[in-house]
Amino acid sequence: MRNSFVFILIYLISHLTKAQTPFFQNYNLANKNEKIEVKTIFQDSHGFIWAGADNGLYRYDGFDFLHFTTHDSLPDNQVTAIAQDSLGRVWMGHSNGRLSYFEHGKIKAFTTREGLGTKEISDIIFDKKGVLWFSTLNDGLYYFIHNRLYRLDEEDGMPDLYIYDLAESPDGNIWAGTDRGIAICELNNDKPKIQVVNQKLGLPDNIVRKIGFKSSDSILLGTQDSGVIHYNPSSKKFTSVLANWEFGTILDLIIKQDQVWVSCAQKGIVMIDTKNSNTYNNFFFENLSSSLLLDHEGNIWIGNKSKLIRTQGTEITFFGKLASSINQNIIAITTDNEQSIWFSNSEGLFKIKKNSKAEKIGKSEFVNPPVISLHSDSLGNIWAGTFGAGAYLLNTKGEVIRYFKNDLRNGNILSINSHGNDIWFATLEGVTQLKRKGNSYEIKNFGTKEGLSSDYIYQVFPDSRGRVWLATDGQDIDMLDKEGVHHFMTGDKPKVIYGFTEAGNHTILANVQNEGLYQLLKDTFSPVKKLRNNNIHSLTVNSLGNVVVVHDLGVEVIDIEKNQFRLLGDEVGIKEMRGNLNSICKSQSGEIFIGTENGIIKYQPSTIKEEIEPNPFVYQLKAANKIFTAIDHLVFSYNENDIAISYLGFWYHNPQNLTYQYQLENYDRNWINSKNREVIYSRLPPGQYTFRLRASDSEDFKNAKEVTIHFKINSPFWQRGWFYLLVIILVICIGYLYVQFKGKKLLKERQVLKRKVEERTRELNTRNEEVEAQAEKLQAQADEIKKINDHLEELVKSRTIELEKKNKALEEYAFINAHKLRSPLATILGLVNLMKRLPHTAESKECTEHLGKSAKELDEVVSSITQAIERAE
Amino acid sequence: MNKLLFSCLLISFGNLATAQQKFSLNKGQIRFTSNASLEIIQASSNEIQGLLDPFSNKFAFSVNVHSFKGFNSTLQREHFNEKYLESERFAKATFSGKIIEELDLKKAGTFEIRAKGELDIHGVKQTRIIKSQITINGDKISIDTKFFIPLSDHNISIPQIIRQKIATEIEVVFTATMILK
Repeated sequence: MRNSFVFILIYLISHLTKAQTPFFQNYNLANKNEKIEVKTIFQDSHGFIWAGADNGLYRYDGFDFLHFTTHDSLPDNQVTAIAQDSLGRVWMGHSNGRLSYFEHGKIKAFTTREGLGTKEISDIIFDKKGVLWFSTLNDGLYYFIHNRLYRLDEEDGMPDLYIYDLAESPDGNIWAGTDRGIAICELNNDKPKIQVVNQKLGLPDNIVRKIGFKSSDSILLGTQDSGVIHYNPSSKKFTSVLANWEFGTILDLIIKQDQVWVSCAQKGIVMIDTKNSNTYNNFFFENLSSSLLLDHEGNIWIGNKSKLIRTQGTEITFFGKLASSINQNIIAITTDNEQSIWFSNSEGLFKIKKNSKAEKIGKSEFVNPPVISLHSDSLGNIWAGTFGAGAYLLNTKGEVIRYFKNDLRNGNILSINSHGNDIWFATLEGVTQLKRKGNSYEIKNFGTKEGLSSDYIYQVFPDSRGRVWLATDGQDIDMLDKEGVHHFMTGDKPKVIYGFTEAGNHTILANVQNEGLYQLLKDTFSPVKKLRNNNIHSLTVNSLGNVVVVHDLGVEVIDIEKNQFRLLGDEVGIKEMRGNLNSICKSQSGEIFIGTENGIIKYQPSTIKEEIEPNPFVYQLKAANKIFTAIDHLVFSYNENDIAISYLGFWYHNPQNLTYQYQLENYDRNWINSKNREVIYSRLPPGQYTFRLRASDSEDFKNAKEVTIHFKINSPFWQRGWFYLLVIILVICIGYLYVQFKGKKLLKERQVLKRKVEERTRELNTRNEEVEAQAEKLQAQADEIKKINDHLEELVKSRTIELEKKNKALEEYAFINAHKLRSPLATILGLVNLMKRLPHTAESKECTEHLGKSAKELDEVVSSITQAIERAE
Repeated sequence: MNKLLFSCLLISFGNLATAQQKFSLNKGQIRFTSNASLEIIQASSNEIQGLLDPFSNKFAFSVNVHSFKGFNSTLQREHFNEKYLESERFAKATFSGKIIEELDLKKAGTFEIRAKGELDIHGVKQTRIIKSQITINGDKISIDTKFFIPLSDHNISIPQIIRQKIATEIEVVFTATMILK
């Protein structure tokens, strides 16, 4: 008998919400007309998205795709499974049964002593203990432990060899989805024990293609023909998550909080909201492949033939064509307590009931003049304010209950709001209060006459404390309370105010024309800085108490207390969807509907509590033309000091919007902001460095994640301690050797000298002896000379005496000659002269002359004798 | 190669049969229909072999491609054998695999089952899950199934000019009676 599947409907009704689609971003992997199939998508611990396709492996970082094929040592171009081990290596399984892994930028084949099979690898998993498990299509389950490969087949208790998926349970067991149920494999002391969950135990469909753990007691199974099955192992109960499954074979499923995203072979993506009465959305995609991924940021990635598709999920969704004929310019919008959406455009008033198309309300009464304000009051009735013709009160069926015109001071109802039994209209002649009393309304008007600053009021906003805030056209803010009218300024010059909201912490916020958001602090309104755009179209507060602002760049969500801002813009597909003024509403279930010039945007606040921030990542370091991908704690030589650091931020939401902040500790004094993804440091001095990197998509780095890498540039060898030491040792050695050498040399020289001295001494001695002998000889000679000298003196003495005697005789002779001889001669000569003067005979004269001549000659002789003697003296 | 595998499978089943009883095909028919916009072509064959092991729920079926009769003309049959199915090269079409459901073939009754296996036509293998109705009546099993074969799955290309005469997906109806032997 077939096992009966107890079809318990915990979720009784499943609703279909048509035509609300999130934004899907496409990433083409193939060229035009090229057909490839993405077989698996995976995100590694860094943040890279890996896609296994039938033409190789792709790695994406938000900016570039890297494509690896057999040319890069991939064992097979068909990549069918991807996983990551505890060492960070990314593993690939291939259709030919091979396995490979990516390590430090290179792909290496995985080999075992036991060899590998030839059937396609369908999944890979590394369990908590680090054991590698991989499943195959029709070749059973393998595990690799202690360097040995083991295979589990039917003999070991596997229900089937055809395995689609592996998942690890919170208690560390491996669950394998096969053609004949689930195999739960447990390794006890390395011995496998297999338990089977199949049709016999109530599994509605034996072909389990995907297993997803919500918790150990809540497991979702994607099946071949029975859709998504919820399994509780404790109670052994199987329940269908969505009754009457009509989407065909499930290829993959992922669990995103309360949502289950399922890819189906025939009908595209089905998103089941398990929190919201199991409603579902079906987004049709052609050529869907089996792969889905939920990344760290909460994006859902979908594999397709030829491309990857990413969506941020259903936080922001768009109502497609409301109906082909309806004008998409939504002037006013509200929701009733039956979850219907009411909106108005130039063609009238419309209502979209849950799961159906827009239907028109009334006939021509809501067309001309058009409905420009809508509001749903506490009784669930709908208020529709027109431009000039007063206001209508309608029930949820669309029937007009009451019409207000004549009782009003002005029929231009720019906005409607309520607080309990008080309904407020903002008009072109002040505000009107309608106090509900039973079935009647007490009407009270407030204008400049009653003390308001202006008669032109854009919006009236009753807050939680019973105060009523009025947005005036050019006269700042008025506030009504029990005490009367109060005026609030927004600065020196009065401004145009469009509207208000009240944050979760009860701060009142105002939309100021062209100046953005102002908040009430004490008694004055001051600007809220950091808002990305100041042209606000509408604002409200979400169910988490955060302020939701619709402006030119999209929807910005602000946590006023934490001063945190999050923009949902281009990345969720809000592009050129200009919101209409104050065309916004919040449903009872917390969804926010925004009326724009191009249709309706639905914003469902994300329940993710922790802030998601971009993940900074340094992926490459370049130095001396060498590229390093294993980058931490690198050491470079002193001349490898031109360092280029390449980094990025993982932020698939909007990678182009990232700003980076970096600082090289020990070099940069401050943090440096940059949009670039590379920084080059030239001629870094030797030292230890730490490169710090942050990334932010709002330029606010307060909560930004940070990554650091360390590297070192060594000093040149001549500036290092060991070198100094070496030099000192060398100097000491050289000194020692020198001293040694010198010593030896000295010794040698001494010996030589000694020898010489001895020789010389010997020589001297001989010479001394000789000298002594000579001295003696000399002494004898000296004695002899002395003797001679002594004798000589006596001889000189006697001779001197002798000479002195001769000198005296000579002197006597000279004296005689000079004086005694000269005087007779002089007398003769005188007489001769006298005789000459006397008369002479010839003879006497001759005689006289001869006498004179002879006397002269004698005188000359005497003179010459005298001279000779004088010369001798 | 495929033939070899199939023979092996049959032989192994045959050997096992000495120990355990198997269901063997007694009578069967495979009929295919090409429902194109301009022409409907039908042909059928009775030359089918088949085995089903009640213990492992594994099965193997084989049909002689050349044995298909019917067609709208003899030329058509000739084209079928020579151009499209190349029955000289690929004489047999086979489907071997397992029954997914936990089926007790000893219990009488009619069951919807899924047979998963490799469908080998024109030398191209495709893993297929084929839904079938199986009626067990003691030692006799009746199989009734209808499925579609996309020609592109098995590398059978149809010239552009006769696209309107041959459907891209061929409907196949298979009925068989098997007896425990």
